[in-house]
Amino acid sequence: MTDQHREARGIAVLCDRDARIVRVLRDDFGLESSVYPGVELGDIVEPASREKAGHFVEELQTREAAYDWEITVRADGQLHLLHFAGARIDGGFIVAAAASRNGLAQVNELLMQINNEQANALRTTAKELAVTARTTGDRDDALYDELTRLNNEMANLQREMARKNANLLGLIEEKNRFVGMAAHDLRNPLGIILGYSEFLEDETENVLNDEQKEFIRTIKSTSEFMLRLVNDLLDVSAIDAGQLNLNRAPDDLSKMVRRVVALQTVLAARKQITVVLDPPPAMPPISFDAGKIEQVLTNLLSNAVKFSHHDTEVRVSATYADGVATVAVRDRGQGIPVADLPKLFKPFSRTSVQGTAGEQSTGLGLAIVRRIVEGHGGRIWVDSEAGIGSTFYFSLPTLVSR
Amino acid sequence: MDNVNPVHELAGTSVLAHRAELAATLVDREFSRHPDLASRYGATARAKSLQDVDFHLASLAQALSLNDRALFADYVGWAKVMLARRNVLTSDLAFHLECLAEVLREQLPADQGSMASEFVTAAVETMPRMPDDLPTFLRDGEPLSPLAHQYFEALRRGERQVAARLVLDAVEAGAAVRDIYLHVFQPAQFEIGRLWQTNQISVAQEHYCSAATQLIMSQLYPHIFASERIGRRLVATCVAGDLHEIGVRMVADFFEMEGWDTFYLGANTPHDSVVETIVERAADVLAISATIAYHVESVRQLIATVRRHPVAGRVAILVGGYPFNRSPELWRDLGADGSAGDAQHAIAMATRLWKTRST
Repeated sequence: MTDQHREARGIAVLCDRDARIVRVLRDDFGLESSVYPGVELGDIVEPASREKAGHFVEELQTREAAYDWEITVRADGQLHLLHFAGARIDGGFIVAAAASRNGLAQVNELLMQINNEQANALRTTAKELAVTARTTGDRDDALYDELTRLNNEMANLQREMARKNANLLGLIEEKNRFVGMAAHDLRNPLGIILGYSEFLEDETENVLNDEQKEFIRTIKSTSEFMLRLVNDLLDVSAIDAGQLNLNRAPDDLSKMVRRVVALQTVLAARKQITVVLDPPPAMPPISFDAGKIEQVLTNLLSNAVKFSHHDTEVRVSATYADGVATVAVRDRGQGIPVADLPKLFKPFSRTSVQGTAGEQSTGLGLAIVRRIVEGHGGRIWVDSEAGIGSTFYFSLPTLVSR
Repeated sequence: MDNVNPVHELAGTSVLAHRAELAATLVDREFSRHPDLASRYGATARAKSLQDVDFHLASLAQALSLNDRALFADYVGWAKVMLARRNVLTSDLAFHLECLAEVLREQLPADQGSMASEFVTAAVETMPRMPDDLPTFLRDGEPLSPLAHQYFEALRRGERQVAARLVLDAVEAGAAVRDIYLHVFQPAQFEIGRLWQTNQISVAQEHYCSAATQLIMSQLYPHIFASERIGRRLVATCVAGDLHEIGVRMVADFFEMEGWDTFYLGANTPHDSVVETIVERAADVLAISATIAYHVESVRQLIATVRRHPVAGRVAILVGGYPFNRSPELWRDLGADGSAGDAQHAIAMATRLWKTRST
């Protein structure tokens, strides 16, 4: 047998769509015992190559053609690495295999003499693909390497980012701890200053003149404010450090709203401000931390009073719909300028609006309130118009989501 | 390893310098002696043979310059399995290498030629004792072996989301990230290499599996980088041209899990930048990896560059990777301070070096 003949040795079969052999067109390897109608293409190859043959069939099925797949077949007791090619024809595929790519072309030529139509299908695909196969083979290898390099670089960057991220998280934690400790250490001396200024105020009633009494009152009120600020700072840093420990229990939100309103009514009365509560509807028990939500509503109500003018009204309402309870606090105060709205709930973001009786703000109240509400899976927002007034809302879901 | 003899180094350099001529002569000779090679291996036989010789010569040159016969024999063992699964007869490979020995003896200066050809002959002689196939790396009975199997099969099917879920679920259920690295990622990577070597998966599948494992690994980073710091610093890198970065990055991750601060520099990092990083990060240890013997020379150059620097030069240098596993004393010759076969040994060795240096 000449070399050329040996190279042109090949197999050609017709298969159905499931790659089951329908007809054997050519079999130069004497594979009658394994290549016959009814056998699946995957079964004629060496067991170790079965998976690869499966991929070849997959490519045939999805792309309707496959060219130059090297798959091992056993014939004459020897293993042969054959070049497989296939193309779609009516109702199935034609598949040919030969000992080399060149041989594959020769098998095609011979096939053409047997069956023009079928061979043409294969030949067209083979030709189209053969032109690109030689160059794409090399190009694919280079591309795979380049992709690996690219992937490596991305992996390295990702690693560096994860490392920096972990560092940043550590720094944030450290900062929170620092703020918490600083605030904690300030609280005790402040308590002492406050205590002694109260003693002085009580015990020097008849000794000091009016100016001196005013000094003591200023010491006292400033210390009170600082203590509030320190307490707020502690709250924020505890929450930021992930220590918003909510003691949730099913409770009656309407009842709590009534209680807070009743308390604040007394304080509001000092500024001749009326607090009106729209009778809340009956609502199912909601799971919330009573102390914390009371803090939220107290803060919103005291803000409303703080920024409202004398002889106005603050209105509180609670509604319930679609599993969500919403509480609204509306004032007829100064309103908030549009420019101040986005930073309203951020720490230390004081607005240009002042308390109507010169009340001070720590700049942390709304930031704490927002963290508490969001910790409950709820939402807080505001509608406001400068000169008309503001309405603050917060909502709580009845179903606890984790 | 024997003492380094200049003849070996010269022979290594000559082999590299004359790669093209040596290969052409060899291929002409084997095809004229065995004309049936062309018909048995088809029209591309010559081209393939030329390509193979190029790899053989690169490995031979490296083994020669390191005077390390085992390194080349090991390469031949690898090539034997790889080619056998691609239907190249082992007898043809042996014949091919015998021709190579002849050509080397004839074409290189006398002492270099005989040395080079001895290396090849020694490897050919051990060929019959080399294994024909590689056993799987996914062994039953190993820790987490069911997970490793499922993970690998998912990757092989191209289902990286499934593979990721398997790993993340295992971690959530309490599996240690360390164990996932050691008993899932590592054998899976070895297995991928084995299947490629034995022609059971395509190069595309190989790349896919590695890329997917890398991505899944990065999903574990939040666990890795959260461990308590111990104030020791490692710079890790592999040399230019080495595509196999995943292994040394895994080693760096192990150091990170042990509390070291680690800085991984990719293969494309110039040597001077490695030096800069060592200084800037005040690194205690530099770890360098090489996956194939061919890259050992670059490791030597990198070490030399680092050692020349007055500050960076004091860093402890660890080397690792396949060539260093096959040739356990190779690190001495390169000017390193030690070598380790796996991540755990690397940490033990680095800790020891760190202690010696800080006392």
